[in-house]
Amino acid sequence: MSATRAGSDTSDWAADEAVTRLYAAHYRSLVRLAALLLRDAAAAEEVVQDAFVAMHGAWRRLEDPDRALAYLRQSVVNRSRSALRRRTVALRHAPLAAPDVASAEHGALVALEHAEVLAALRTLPVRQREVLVLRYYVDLSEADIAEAIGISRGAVKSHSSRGMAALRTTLERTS
Amino acid sequence: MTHHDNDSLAARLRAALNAEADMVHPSDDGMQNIRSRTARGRAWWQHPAVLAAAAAVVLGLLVGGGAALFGGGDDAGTVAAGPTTSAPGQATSTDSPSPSPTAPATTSSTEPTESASGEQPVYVYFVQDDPDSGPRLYREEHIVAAGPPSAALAVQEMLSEPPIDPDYSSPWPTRTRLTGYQVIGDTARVDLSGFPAVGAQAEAVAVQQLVYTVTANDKAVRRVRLLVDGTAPASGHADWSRPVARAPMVDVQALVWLLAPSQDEVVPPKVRISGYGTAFEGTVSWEVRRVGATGVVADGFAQAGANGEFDEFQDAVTLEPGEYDIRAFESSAEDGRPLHVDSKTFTVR
Repeated sequence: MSATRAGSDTSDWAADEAVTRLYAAHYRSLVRLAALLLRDAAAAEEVVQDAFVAMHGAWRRLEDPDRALAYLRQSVVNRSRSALRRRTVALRHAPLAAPDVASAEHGALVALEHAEVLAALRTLPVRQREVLVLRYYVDLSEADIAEAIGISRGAVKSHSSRGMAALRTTLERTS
Repeated sequence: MTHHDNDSLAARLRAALNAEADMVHPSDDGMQNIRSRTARGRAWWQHPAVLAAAAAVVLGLLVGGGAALFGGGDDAGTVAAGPTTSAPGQATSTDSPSPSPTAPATTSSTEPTESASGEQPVYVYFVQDDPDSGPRLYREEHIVAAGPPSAALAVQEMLSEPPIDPDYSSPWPTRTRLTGYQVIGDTARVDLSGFPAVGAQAEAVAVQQLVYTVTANDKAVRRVRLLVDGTAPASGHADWSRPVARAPMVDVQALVWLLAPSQDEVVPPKVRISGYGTAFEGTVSWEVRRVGATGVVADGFAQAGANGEFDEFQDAVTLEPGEYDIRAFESSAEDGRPLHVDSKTFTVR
């Protein structure tokens, strides 16, 4: 529709439209992805909003919803990693404590199980963690994970298998 | 990646990540924040109708209840109605189908339960009388039968269903029905069969309840044109013939507002507390009591927004199984008494 309009605004409109569409379809899942990487929901929203603003600015180069989504994902992973690096001990929101075994014995086995798995995940190096989150939360293909993190497909494979092996070891030790 | 599903570790990881992700609920001002930063000197809602109409097609604002949707403005043309309408050039990536007609609340492919079960969450605002600041809007997430547009479903829910939290209420007459919902440009036209017969302040809050509910579920809508039986509502207080935008949050929205635990929720012993609000120096207090008891079993502080800025606050507490009441509030800077209290009853399993 906007393509029929003449003038320099056309590209702005297309960029705005892309933001609208990608926001509707992916904002929440991107925030959740960032939250899994960052463990901070508020910071996750900032990261994703930054990514959208950057995507809007890069629209002339992207001009394609699929590439824009790939760009957003890449941007969210990179920004989450930088935010993690910057983050000092003083978190804006205090991190959740380690799973409370005593109270979990009252029956919250599922919650305990999740907490254990997530705690083990957090002990992994950042790349391994990113690969596993993108694979098992976002359900990305190897190729898309490689693109999102900016590594080769071979590296995705090895981070994935090493990460899973380390997870298995940690979980066997704690259970 | 189904070949991984046989792997029990993969299944455990997937379940844990999804459970953790499900606890993250983005606030509903994300689009506003992004737009304000990409607008580059022109307010984005001042776009010609053509863009907003395009966005309306993209978001598939299609009316399930029988009302027809049409395009507005000289350039907009006619927007096709029908559940199969999709955006041109829709995404074909692996992780998500296409811009879904149900807006951000429901589109993630990582939440198969929502689409598979034919249900979706909508945001519905209700009113609670805050003794310290008057009637205020509080948002609840309601699960409804799926079907675009979300905003119409949300309005229907607002009119026909009681709030989950018994402290909340709705000033709309109980028999009010939604008879039409159309989006033209950035304006939603909402046709209703009734209008509250209340005082001026309550009426203004009721209209904002409607506007907040519509705009929370449809990011492309900035204003609501309200029609009652086809004409502007007959009000003794104000002229509602013009489209109404959201009033500033600080004027109408709850100042302290608990998101989790939600009313009647059953939660694990590690209870996540979250909410939204603004308070003096950003400090929101919370207190947990056993239902029926007076003694506080746990309390704490969390950081929300300050100086009229709203922000999410978060905290956590571990509790033994049982039934609890939680209250979140701002402590008065003068005498420490609780202001703007929001409360929920929940169960620890």
